[in-house]
Amino acid sequence: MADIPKFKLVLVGDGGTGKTTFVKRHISGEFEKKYIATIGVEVHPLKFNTNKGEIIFNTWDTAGQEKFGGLRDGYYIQGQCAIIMFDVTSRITYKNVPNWHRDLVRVCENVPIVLCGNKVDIKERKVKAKTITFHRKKNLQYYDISAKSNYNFEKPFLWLARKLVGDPNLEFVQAPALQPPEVHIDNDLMDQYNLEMEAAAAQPLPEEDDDL
Amino acid sequence: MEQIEEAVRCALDPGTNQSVKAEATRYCESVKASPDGWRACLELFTTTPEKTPESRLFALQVIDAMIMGAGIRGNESGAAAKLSTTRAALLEFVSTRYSGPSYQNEPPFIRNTLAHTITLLALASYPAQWPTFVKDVISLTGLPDATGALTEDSARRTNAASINPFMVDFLLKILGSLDEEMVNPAVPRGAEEAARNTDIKDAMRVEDVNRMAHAWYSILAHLSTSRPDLANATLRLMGVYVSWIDISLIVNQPFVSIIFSLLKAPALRGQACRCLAEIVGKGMRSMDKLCLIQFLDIVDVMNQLELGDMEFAEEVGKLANVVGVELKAIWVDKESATPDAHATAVALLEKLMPLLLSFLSHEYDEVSSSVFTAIGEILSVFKKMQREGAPLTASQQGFLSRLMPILVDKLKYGEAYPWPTAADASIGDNDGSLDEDDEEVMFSELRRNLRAFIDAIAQIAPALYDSIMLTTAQDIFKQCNQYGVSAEQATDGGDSGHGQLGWVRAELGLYLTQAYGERLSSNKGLRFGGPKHGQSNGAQPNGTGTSGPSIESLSDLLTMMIQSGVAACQHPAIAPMYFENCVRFNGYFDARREAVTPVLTSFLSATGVRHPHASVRVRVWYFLHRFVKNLPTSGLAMYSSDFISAVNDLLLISADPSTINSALTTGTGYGMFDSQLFLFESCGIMLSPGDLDDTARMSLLQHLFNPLFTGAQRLMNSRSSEQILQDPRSLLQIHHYLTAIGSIIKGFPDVRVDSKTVSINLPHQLSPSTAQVFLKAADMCIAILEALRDSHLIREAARFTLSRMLSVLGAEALPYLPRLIDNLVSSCAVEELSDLLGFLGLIVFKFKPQVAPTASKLLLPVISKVYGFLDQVAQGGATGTDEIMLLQDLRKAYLTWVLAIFNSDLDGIFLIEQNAPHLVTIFQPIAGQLATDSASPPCQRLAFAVLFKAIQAWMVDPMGWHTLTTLTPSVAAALSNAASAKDSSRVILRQAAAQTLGIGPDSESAREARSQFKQFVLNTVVPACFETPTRPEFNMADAQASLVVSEIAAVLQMTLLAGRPDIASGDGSSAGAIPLPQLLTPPIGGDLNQNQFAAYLSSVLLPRMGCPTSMATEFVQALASLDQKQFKKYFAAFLTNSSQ
Repeated sequence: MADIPKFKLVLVGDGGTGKTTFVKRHISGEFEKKYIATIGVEVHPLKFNTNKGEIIFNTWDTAGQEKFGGLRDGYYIQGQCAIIMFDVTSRITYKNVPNWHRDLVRVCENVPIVLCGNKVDIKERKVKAKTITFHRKKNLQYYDISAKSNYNFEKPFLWLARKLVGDPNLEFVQAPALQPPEVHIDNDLMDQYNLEMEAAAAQPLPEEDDDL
Repeated sequence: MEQIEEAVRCALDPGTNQSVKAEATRYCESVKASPDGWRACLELFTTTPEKTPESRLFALQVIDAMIMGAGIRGNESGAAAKLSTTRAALLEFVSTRYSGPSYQNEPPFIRNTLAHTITLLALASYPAQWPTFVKDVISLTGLPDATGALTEDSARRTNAASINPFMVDFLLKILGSLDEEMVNPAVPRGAEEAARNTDIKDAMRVEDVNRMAHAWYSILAHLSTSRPDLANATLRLMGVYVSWIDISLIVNQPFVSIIFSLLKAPALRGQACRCLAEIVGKGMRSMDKLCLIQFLDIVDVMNQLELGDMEFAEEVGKLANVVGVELKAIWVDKESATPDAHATAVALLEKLMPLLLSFLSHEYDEVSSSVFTAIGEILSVFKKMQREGAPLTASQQGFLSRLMPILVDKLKYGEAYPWPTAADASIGDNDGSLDEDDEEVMFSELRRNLRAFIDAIAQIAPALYDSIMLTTAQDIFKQCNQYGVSAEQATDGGDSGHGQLGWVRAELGLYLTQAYGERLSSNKGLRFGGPKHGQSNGAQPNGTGTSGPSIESLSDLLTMMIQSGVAACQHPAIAPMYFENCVRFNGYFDARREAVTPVLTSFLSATGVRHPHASVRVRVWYFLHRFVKNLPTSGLAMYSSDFISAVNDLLLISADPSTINSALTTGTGYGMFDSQLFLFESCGIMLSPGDLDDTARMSLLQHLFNPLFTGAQRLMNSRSSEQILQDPRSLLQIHHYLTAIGSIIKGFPDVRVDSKTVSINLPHQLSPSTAQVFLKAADMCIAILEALRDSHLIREAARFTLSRMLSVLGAEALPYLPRLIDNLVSSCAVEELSDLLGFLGLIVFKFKPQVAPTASKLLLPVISKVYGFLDQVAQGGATGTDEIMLLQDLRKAYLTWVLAIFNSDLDGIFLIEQNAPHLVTIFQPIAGQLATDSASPPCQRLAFAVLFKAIQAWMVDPMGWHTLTTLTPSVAAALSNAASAKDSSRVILRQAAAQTLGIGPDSESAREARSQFKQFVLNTVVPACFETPTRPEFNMADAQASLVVSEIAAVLQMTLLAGRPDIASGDGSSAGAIPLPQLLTPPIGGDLNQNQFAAYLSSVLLPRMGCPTSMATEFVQALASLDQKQFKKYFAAFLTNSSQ
């Protein structure tokens, strides 16, 4: 067990974006969490089997104290990677992403970060694919996810694992044990989003306007 | 202090026990909240020996909180003193502790956070309380504190040895943080904060930014060699500050020459390039921008750079791109740029073009795509010129003719593109989010961009486009035909054009064919085999001089493609593109029937449906389905037998249990089986032609059906239903058998249903023996459903398959409907019920009177199921957004279904003896809840639409003289023509439906129900018409709500019509005498003095709602005299006035 590489993953984002639901989808983390459940922050050891061996993401879920409570930035200390989450049905949560990013990189310099737009299973999507450009300016990876339907659940972890291990050929060899999806995602809807996403990527970045 | 340190330790340690942790966290909170907590923290942060980094970070957070509490301009009472104490202590700390090597021992996150804290201090107190902020932080570094014009001397005066690199690093952190807090456009800020930031920037512009520029210059001049990291950070900062500072602070001789010199320093050239790109891209007026570009002489500078390194080439490409974009902006700026400036910009741009083209043709895609924006913008100007009839100059045409071949060449796959091997190719990874590591996504992205440019050229210079596209593709196919194609070799063998074709160019040929055809079809639509314009040149390249792309050229190209034999290439890039072309341009096969055989042969070959790559294989199955579906059935019979035997072994069903609850499936996917369904349906299509010998058909059909029948029966007979229900794998396998049967049947054409009659004696398109086989399948399907209806999978499969039977067999399959619905309704879940209602709506609409008896029996069970779900949640409360959405869908589906019943003229099913007593119970929640719930305007609209129909059916026209079909103007016209020629022999649908139900409009139960309904309309529906739109949560300005108002207006007019004395008191025959459109043409309602409803409205209802009598009378007049559109306007105004 001691040989399994472990990485501290910091999970941040506005309240209500689904961070806790997201980590709880992973059954091993949910199971082991019982031993280390805490007040300020919950740490979930999420285990993945890769073609290069097992790896564990000790995921720090900062739920419940997004704005002012708790130790905030203190939780980021020694973070080795991060996920910033927003809710595609709530524009304000996307607007706040730069704040999360700024606070995060102040404490964790140069760590791989994934931006996740959650709740894509809901049809009334407010943050359209073409408006999601922040990750491109900051060299983050972006994924549409749906914690409720497990859509793309493993994608952020896979990307982070590849960056952390430094091996682009790393793959997960077996699907992580997840809670069954609570909702089924509409494949047509996903296809449409994917098309939009591709179209968005083709767009030039908005100009950073001079605000004089 | 020790206590804080300990509390932070406990709060952050995941191992601490819960209650201790909670207490520690609370303690930290209380420190932050206490008025003097920041003092203790200032002490904790600066004291020696140092406290733990975690507690020092916390201390800074507490100080930050104090600074935030001091007000956005630091002017809360008592704030100035606190800020000044903090400032003094922190600057003292920095100057003593960060000036030496101990700086390196400080954890980076503490340095960053302290720089941020000092930035927050500055934002709160500069310039009023801390005017010397910039001066102070620069003076810590030993860099010159200078203002005024920059000369090369000003740096020389600085003694390099006096510069403290640790402090410089810290200064750069502060300035970086200042940008993020104050300028960076990505960060959201409030209006007050933005105003404060503008003031700060204005104050800094007086001389502090000048100071910064001097400091930056000194860093670049003195530290570039010894500390490239600091020089790098400085260049980055200059790039972000350039957006708001005076450009001349940076664009001057000393600065520019040092930046240019750094373009030759390997460690700094990339950042220097980015800095230049920011400078060139700064928002400025056109004339100033032109001067800037001329001053920098940037095109010449770029031409002299050594671009061997790919990453640097990409940076220079981006710079060239910005220059191109800016020059284009000056070129098209007709307002502020002079004609001379235009000419200069165009000249500079032409000078830049060769450079842009050389980047574009770079072998690395990253480099090539760095100039895409500039290329796109130049093409957009050309397009505009072309639209305006301005001819391109010779040099512009020259640019295009050099550009086009580069673009076509870039379309090729890279030789090193990582194709999966046949063994590890997995099926359908439908990943959406753009993964920068994913070469497939990146390449298709690149192609999409290149295609947009190529299509632009097609518009600007059609002849050039036509010649290059066709020549390239034709040469490729000719070479393939002559020398064959290799799946292993990426590049061609032999001399150019004389050797075996490699797969890369083979794929390019297919892609160009597709691009050519798509462009054509989006422009003119594809009509193959139309009258030919002139003689087609066939295989000859017919480039120059022609007017551009034509259908003949495409047709010839497809012929060459098919004859080239390229389809035999095993490489996974080939088959999908080849077969997609065959499907996409299927019209070609109508004109060239002889081409069907070779293509179908390719489809059925080892590089088609049995392609070695699994992912390609299933893609081909899909294309095969599309291909045969598009072919005219008349020519298919000759292929039927060979087709079935060719795909037979691919039809083996083996359920993949990982798809049942697999976490990674996203809903409806069943893995490879989903693709097999395309094959099953294709088989159905191949067996459907009428000219196929029926004996042959029967034998082939048995061949297909037998394994499915026996497979399902074997599983059903092996164990009890209870046992099977416990076994997901068996359920999935049975689900697949049933779905496969349904898919085969789907390949047969839908039966024509004459819903105008009750008879079922229509000529069958199916042979009787085929119908027999299908009915046998239906029997089995129903039997399985009855045994296993508790399984969601089985219900899904049964619904799919039996609905296909209904489409194909028509009325013959109707007897299965009650059993199907009974079983589905009794065990379905919410989302299934919504789907089921949609299905029922379609059935009702399709079969009309024929299905009336069945529908009438299903009515109550279905409705009670719907309300069962709705009430369950009403009591328990919805558990979340998703459930709310599901129920919203259910309400919509329910109302749509009820509306479908009326639109199919089956209102009679509500009136049969079992249902009639429940009539009001059924409509009560529609008027009382669904119509009034403003949370969903679409539901409201449907609810009122249902009420409108019900009033028409039972209060205006109970005898059923008029159809209830939604009245569009054309329907109305048709009806009124028909009605004028009315005679007793005409079959009236509503009456026919009533007949099949065995009810007369005069039956006791129907009469009683109608009279109750009338009371209900007066007591509930009409009040709802006024209450709904005047509720506060009803938003009249919303477009959806406006549609609701229209619907309500229609309900009121229909009700007024129902109050007409002859209608209200008559036996219903009076409505039949007049065509409906005329009934609804104003004035409606007949003699208003005699109209019961008019009287009720003007003297009872409206006055009761507080409307003055005069206004009520006026309202009724309007209701009677205005047409539907006018009245809707009047009604909307009436509502707006009365709710004020």
